[in-house]
Amino acid sequence: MKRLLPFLLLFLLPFASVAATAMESRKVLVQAIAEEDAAKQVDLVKQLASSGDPLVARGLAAWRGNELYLLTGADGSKVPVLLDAKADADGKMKAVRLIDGATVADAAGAPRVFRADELTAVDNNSRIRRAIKTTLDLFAITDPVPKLRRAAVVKLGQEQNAEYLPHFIESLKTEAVPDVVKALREAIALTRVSDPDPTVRNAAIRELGTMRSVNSIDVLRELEKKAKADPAKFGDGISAALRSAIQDIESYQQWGNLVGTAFRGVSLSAVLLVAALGLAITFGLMGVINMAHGEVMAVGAYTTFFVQGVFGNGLLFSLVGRTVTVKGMGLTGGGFDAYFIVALAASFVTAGLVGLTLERGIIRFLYKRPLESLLATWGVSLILQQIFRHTFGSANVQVDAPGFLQGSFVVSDVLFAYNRIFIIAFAGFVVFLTWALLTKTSLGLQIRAVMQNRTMASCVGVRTDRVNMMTFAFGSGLAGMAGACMTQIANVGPSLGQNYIIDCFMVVVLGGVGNLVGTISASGGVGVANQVLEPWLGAVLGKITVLTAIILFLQWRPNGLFVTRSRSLDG
Amino acid sequence: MKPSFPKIIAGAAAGLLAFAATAAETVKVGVLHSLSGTMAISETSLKDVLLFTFDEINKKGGVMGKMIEPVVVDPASNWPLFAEKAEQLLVKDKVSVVFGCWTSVSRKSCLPVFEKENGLLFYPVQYEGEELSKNIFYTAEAVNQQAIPPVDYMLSEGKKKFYLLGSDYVYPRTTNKILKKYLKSKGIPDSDIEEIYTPFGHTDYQTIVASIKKFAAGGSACIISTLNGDTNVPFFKEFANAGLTSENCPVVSFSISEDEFRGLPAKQLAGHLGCWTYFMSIKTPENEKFVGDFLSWVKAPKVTGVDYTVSGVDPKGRVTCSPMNLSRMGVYLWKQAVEKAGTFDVDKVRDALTGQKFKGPVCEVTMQANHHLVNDVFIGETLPTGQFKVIKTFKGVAGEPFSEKFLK
Amino acid sequence: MTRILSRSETVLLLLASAVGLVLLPCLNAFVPAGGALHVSTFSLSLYGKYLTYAVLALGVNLLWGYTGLLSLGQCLFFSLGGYCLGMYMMMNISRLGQYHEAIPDFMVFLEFPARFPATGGLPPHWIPFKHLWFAALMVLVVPAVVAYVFGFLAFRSRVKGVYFSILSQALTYAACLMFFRNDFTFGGNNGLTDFKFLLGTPALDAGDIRDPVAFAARLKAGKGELDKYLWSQIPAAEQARLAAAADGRAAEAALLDGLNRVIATGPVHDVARFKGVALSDATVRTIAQAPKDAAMLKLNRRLLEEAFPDDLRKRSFTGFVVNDPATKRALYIASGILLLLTYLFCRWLTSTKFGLVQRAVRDSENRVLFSGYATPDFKLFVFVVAAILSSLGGALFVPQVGIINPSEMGADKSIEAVIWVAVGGRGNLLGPVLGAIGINSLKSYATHSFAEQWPYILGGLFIFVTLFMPKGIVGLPGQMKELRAKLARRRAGKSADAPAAATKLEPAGKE
Repeated sequence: MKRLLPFLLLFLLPFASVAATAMESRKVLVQAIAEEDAAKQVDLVKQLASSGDPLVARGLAAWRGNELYLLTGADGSKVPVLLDAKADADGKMKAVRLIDGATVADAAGAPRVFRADELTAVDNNSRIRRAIKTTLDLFAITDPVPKLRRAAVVKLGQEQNAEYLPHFIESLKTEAVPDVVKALREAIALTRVSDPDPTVRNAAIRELGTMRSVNSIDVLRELEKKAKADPAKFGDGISAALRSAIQDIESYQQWGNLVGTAFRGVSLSAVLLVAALGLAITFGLMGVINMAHGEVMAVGAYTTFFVQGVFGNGLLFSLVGRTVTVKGMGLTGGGFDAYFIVALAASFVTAGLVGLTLERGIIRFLYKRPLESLLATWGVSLILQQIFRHTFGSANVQVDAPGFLQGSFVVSDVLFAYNRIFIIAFAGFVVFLTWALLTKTSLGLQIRAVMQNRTMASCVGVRTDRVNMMTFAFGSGLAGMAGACMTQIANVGPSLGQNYIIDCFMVVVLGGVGNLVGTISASGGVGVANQVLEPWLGAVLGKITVLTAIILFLQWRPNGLFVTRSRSLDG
Repeated sequence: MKPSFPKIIAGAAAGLLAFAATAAETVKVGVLHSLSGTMAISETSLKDVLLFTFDEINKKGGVMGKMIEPVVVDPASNWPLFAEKAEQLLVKDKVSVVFGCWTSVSRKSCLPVFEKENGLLFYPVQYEGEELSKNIFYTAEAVNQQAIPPVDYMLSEGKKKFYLLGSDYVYPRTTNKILKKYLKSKGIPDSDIEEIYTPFGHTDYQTIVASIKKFAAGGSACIISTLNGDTNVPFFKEFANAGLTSENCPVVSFSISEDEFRGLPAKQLAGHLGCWTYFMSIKTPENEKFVGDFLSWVKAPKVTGVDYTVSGVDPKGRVTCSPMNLSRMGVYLWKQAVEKAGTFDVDKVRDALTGQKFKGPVCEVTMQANHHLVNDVFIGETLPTGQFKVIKTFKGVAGEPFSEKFLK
Repeated sequence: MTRILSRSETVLLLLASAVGLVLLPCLNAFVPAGGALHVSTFSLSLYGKYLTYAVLALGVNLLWGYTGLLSLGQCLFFSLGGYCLGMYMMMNISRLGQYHEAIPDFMVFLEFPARFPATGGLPPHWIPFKHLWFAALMVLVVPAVVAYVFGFLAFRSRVKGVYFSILSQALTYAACLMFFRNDFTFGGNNGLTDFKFLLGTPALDAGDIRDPVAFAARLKAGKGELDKYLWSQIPAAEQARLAAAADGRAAEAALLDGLNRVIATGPVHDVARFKGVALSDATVRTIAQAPKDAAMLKLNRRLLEEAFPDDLRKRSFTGFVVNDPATKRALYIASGILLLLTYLFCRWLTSTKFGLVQRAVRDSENRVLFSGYATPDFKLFVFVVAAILSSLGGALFVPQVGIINPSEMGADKSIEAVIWVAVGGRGNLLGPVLGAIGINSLKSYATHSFAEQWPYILGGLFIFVTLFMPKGIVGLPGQMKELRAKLARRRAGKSADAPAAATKLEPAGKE
């Protein structure tokens, strides 16, 4: 630090106009970065809480995210810098000095550019990151975005730190957004629960109860335990207040659990539906026991991986033992995020093509022997898995979530993740697509005719061969899109398909083979049942119970939920 | 010729087989890792690093002047097939030593074979212990090397609530049983320990993440995860989307190494913890050489000195990780023991192995009489690059398979 | 016999039995290793494994080929049989395992003693599996009951076709998840393994020590070298228990634990120690061989018996060592005999009137139903019989392979069994046997010699067989004949109006 001081003073001179407090806090930050002792570092970072300087906030955030870099100055000292968000063609960025916000320039005054991986990032660890988080949270109480304000308040309220109380009260005066107001009131009450004055304390407890504050239930329960153990210390009235507050919150929580379980059930149902819909067509309508359904899904997933590479930084894969390089477009932000939409379409096409090849090469010889399609497609599944391994490697590959599918929002303490909502919507979309194709197009009419009576359809001039081909390709395409969807919630690897295949067959059969409405209802039932049972029985026993229930259910309705009516005796 | 059914069936394909003229100066070594099926995701990398190590050794003249000739088989993630392949390697191919297995059940499946045929197996993957066979050398991390140190670290970080999450099989159950005892001895009450299991191949972690969110609301909770490789992906994707981060609820994972990170959204997972006896990022000259050599080897894989074609090596985005390093060190320990014993005879090599020291990429290890290593243990934090940054080092921790001995 | 078996089939069976049951084991037993004609124990036990698979395949075939029920859960019964016998073998190692406790090792480290304190950690349903007769009975009863309950429900409500297939898959998948759980008391994911003895155990059991109190006193007195040694080897805890023992029973339990530990741990024999002890010739010969592992434990027991003829009851038979070549050979022969019997049984069953109804059910269930037959009962019977056959195969599979665990119940294993039948040719008895042995041999070979490429080979084969050999390997001669006839016709220049191959309604399996 001592070595740095003259260096810093040099910079201070031309920027005398910068507010003294901001300047001061930047100095503290730079000092914290240079500090070797972790405990002192934490102290220094905590001092920054009242700073409010945007550059300090940026610097702290970058430090926490490993994006604050050290530049070696002319005299060998280390200067902390931030990199500009915008990169040039070579991926190089301008650097901004933390101390004064000035762009780093060379001797001639032109800005110098750097690549992130050429620079050394400032070290951090979990303790310092926690301290930074707290500091940033205090910053964030005044953040212009209400959501961030609220998150910060909730976080700080949990700490029950009386020092924050004035900050909260101050903010409450000017706050207009109801959500944040509620969070502030909750934080104030929560902080006051640790107040030594019993009247303040009991009032705070009661308020938490009326607010149905889920976040404070742990604190209240803990307090109840303590109050029971040592009634003298906590005085009268506290247990009654605690009891009623806890009961209020608990009953509210139960309601929240109900909504949460319902959402999770619907979301799992959507996943099952998306995964099984393709099978409902290839197996349900066409009668092909397609054991390679899971691998066709994997084709879609790998297509997504491929498209991501093309939009992003490129990718390598092996083709018959040779490495192929695909150059990426190097997009970032929204441009990159668009990859997922393209990938959905692309995976429909590639999986459809794989399906087409399968149908032409193998399946079409087996329509008269449907059970044997199990054998051939099992072979196909073995081969496809090994092809994945040899093309993209045995390990799982990484598919990033596009920005618009990351994160979640919270309503009344129930979590709604964006990717889950997307899958629910997507399930609706593919169901609509399938319904429209089957009922509103002439191809759909032909498909239904061929599936009901192949010979008869052929007699009236339907080109059954072509219809079979198109149906199978469409079913495979749907499976491919399902695979693309799965990249957002599960792993992408050679054995991706194996995780879903049994569930898919179960859903199609439970719904009634050949009946799309059945598949939809069955996935709904299985999904919700799974999520309802899981908190009770645990994941393993829950799954076993659902399987047993399916077995028993099929005793009652041996042809599934919805029976396709037919005059044929053997159905 | 012996009348063997496989050979008769294979008669048709015999034309394809070009029998290599066996060079006199080779020693056969078995590689028993699944290259297909569910475990191929993890085990293929170990096969690669073993072949790389054989190449390394052969370039320097082999073992006692003999070139290592690999015999690679595929037990296909099928446990009885592990036993069959192990026997095939020992009886038919007469290999001097076998490197292999990942899951405990695969090791348990071939253990009787190694004992019967008096073979040698080097096992490189962290496991639950409670086993000691004279025919197996466990270069793997034992529970006291891998599970106890990060729990200590979490306690020192002020964590008070522990969520033990695992796949439903023996390793997580045993590890958690030991951890629970340990946590209780450190004064953590039962009510603050949650123990949850999910089936193999579980893909839906919504309920569990929701319950974690509740569990972690106070901010003093952490997760100890013994989920097996594949199910980590859906879990972490769900975890990140629920707004949980390493600051409000760190996850300590015992089965995620750099290799598993290749399939995980690393950016969302920065700051979680892992505990291994090796990290790729550790900067020592030996490690830099190991990593560099391996990364260039995968681009043109071959085994010097023997007629063996390497195939199925993925050249892209490769990393090194602890099980890979332990696999490689196993080969070197065996080589040194052979050279000390002056023979490939299993009994003599076994005697020579005890006390054998090897300077690995990051530290020196010693093989103890209990067939486990004395090794340095590192706790690492994950970085957005999918690497680990060491935050704590425990020097020379002696592996101990039996929990009753270290839980006193 | 002759009415059921045709002459050619009789010849074939005799030939196969002569080679498989007599020649191969003889080549293994009597031709010295290294001899040109020697069959290694490894190969023999590998074939033994294939033979048990063939039994399973015959079960699948009885259902699919003859009754038209495609069960995708047959490996459940195979595994149940395996588990029943596995439990018996686990009970046989108990005290001689890693922890030297009275319960199997996995129960010790999963802390069963805390869960089942009344029985010392042994779950109550494990107790009767100490007896071979009970285990053997369960091999028959357990799968039969499971199959009966499942089949009764399924067939009563007329679950058919692919619904039945998926339902059976759900059953085996649920069972697989259940067995994965450690709490289910069957060893969880690791299953049952590390078997040592079959049909007996060298461990001392209650009643083997004539007078425990006197024997303990004698050892404690430590007059001879051997007495001294034994006493020093008995752990301090057991010595304390002996001292505190109130009655003969308590003393016996403590002494049993102590002595079994001696049997389990050390080579008891030592020249100095056994000076003056008259050993039988057989024992002296065994000592010279310096046996290891399980065989050593057997020797330890014999040494104790011969050293203390007045104190210990002599047991003439202390079990087979599972890994012993002779045991492996015997298991192989047993598998061969089981396969032969299964074959004959299937042949008999399918040639009776029952078999006729069975095939009629396959070809048109409704017509059979309308003719007044209770088809559900027929199907239920076949389903139970097939389950028992599979279970028997599984029971012999486990001692040869040395492990049974829940993955054997996985849905993929059952599908594989169906594939053996399809490749071999269903609807006859030879096909499934050929399919099971052929595919597994090919898999054994390819996973060794083409470790990276074998899925291409096997997958390609399945596709090829489905497309070009619809009747499997067994149908190949027929196909050849047809092809030749076709070529001949074409050569003769006749119009190629081939008669429709109306084979579907022809009862299969008849010449």
